[in-house]
Amino acid sequence: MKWIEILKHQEKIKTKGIKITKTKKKTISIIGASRKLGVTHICLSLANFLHSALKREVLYIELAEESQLLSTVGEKQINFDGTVGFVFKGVTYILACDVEKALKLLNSHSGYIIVDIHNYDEKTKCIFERCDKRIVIGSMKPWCRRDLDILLSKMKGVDDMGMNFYNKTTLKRENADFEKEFHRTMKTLPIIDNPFLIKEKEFKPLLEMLM
Amino acid sequence: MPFRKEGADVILIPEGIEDKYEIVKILQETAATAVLLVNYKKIGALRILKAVHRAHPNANSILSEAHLLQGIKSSQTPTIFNVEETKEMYYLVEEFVEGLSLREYLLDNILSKEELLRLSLSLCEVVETLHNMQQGPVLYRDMKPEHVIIQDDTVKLIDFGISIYKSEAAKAMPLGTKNWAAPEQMKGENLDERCDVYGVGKIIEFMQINSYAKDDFRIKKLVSHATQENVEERLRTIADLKKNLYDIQGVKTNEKSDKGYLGKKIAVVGNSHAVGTTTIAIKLCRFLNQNGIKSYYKDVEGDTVHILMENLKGTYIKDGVLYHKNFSGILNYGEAIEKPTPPKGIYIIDCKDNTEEAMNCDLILFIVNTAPWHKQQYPQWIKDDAVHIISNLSNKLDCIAFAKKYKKKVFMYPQLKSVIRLEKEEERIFSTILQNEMD
Repeated sequence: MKWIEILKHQEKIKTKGIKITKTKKKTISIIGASRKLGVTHICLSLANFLHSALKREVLYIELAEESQLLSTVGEKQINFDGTVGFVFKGVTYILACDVEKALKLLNSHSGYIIVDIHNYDEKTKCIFERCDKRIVIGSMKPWCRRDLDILLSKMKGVDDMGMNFYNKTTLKRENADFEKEFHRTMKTLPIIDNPFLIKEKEFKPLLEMLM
Repeated sequence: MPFRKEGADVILIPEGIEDKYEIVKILQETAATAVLLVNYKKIGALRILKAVHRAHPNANSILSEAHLLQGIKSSQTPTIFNVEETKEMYYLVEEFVEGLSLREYLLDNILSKEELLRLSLSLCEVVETLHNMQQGPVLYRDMKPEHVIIQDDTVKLIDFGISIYKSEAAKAMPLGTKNWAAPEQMKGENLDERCDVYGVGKIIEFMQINSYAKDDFRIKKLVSHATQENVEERLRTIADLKKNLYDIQGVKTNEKSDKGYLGKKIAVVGNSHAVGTTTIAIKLCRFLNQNGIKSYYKDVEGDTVHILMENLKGTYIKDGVLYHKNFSGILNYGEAIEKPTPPKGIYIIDCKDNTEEAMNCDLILFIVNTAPWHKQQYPQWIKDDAVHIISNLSNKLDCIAFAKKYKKKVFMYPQLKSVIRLEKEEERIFSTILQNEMD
């Protein structure tokens, strides 16, 4: 598996013979245009991959009013920087976090941060924009197109740098349609069977998402 | 004295059975008890006759011993022939177990490692039989070299005088032999099978002192685990002890079959922090792979392989192993990654300065740095044949002094020009160390 080379290649850029090591993207936020597109699933996969495979310190922020993950990851409670946190399989989870607290954590935490944004609105926008890596999951299915249009109109003016669009489909035509309409590249979202038990063959697509 | 006529020097067979037996030898005699070697006249066979006066406070022990022995189905315990009582006496006639006691045997013999393991396993077998009795576990409680009789490759256990059923342990008297019985037994605390684990551990320790394997660190570690003063820290069952003995014995068996070295573990451990264990372990892994012997580097505490993954060019991953040229290292994945099947081959365990971890391995490369700011206390087991000393980052004079002090060959590791490429001197050291092991 040569995927490690991709990581190294992405992190180092040669400019006129001088090697510049780029700062690694450490804060990653993910939003979904419609419901049930697998935002939490992919957030969990990335967080667990970063911690268990790459041995990084990872903080998972669930930016939502109510937690969906408490029953899954809430076994071991800890005090994290004055906030109630939970540790599960090495990843620290801050559940049902508000914007203010999330901003504070983004500023203070030195490791990787994955922000699972449940709703993209005026409040959560600043968190999304603040992250180094921004992932948008959408669908070009006819019944989801409107949601995608609304989201993209809300995102007008947001810097495209470090933003990637993912589609749940494997149909190339849908991705091509997106490119044609919005002049942006859309990739296929990787399929991860179990975000808490990742297989080695799933490493490469996850790493590519982090690039 | 019930066994002597008043004023006479001649000992007598208890009244009522004198016509059946004649005394050959008095083995033990007190005012109210006697252990005699007798001849059973009818068939001319030697027997042991144990007699105790009814007035003796432990008179019932002879009956309980008989009761216990009758329930044991093992060829490694004496057979009971007769239990009877006369007006004054209780007596028990049992098989005379021929052979030398372990203590007598070791006066003239030094055990080899194989012999030590074989006798230890045989002893475990008999104690395991006692612990797995149908009527309930029996605690032997009187393990000492005098009670272990050597018969070729096996041992027999004699004298069940203070043995009890585990169910009766709560009301048992605090009996036993000082320095051989478990501490909780001497204190009269509640007992379980672990008191015999202690006893067997002490016997193995006694055999090891009188063997050629007296510095074998794996046996020492096992003995120390079996003879822990604190019962909670002790090995739990005889079966555990037996399994560990088989593991130690298994190494030898594997060497002869099953492609020899596969599954072997080589520990690289230092006398203190930062003496170069990681470098030497990685280089050893490269050396073995380069010579066609599959080997895998494993870091017991840190994430060295993950760091290598990020810093080396041309690496790739397959089934939890990072490959780079001649190097292959086991990735220490976290809980959220599906665990791949461990590959077969030699494992090079980078123990840093964790000597406890090293003792679980088959071969140890002990890395020393004689600089004064490094710890200068060394474990006793460094004298063992399975331990090889490599002096890293030290000068020649210090190496010579070390070798003289410990009467052991010390390999002086060269100063490295490359962390990837193997140097001739490194190859020479590794091949010398492993020459005998890989044959």
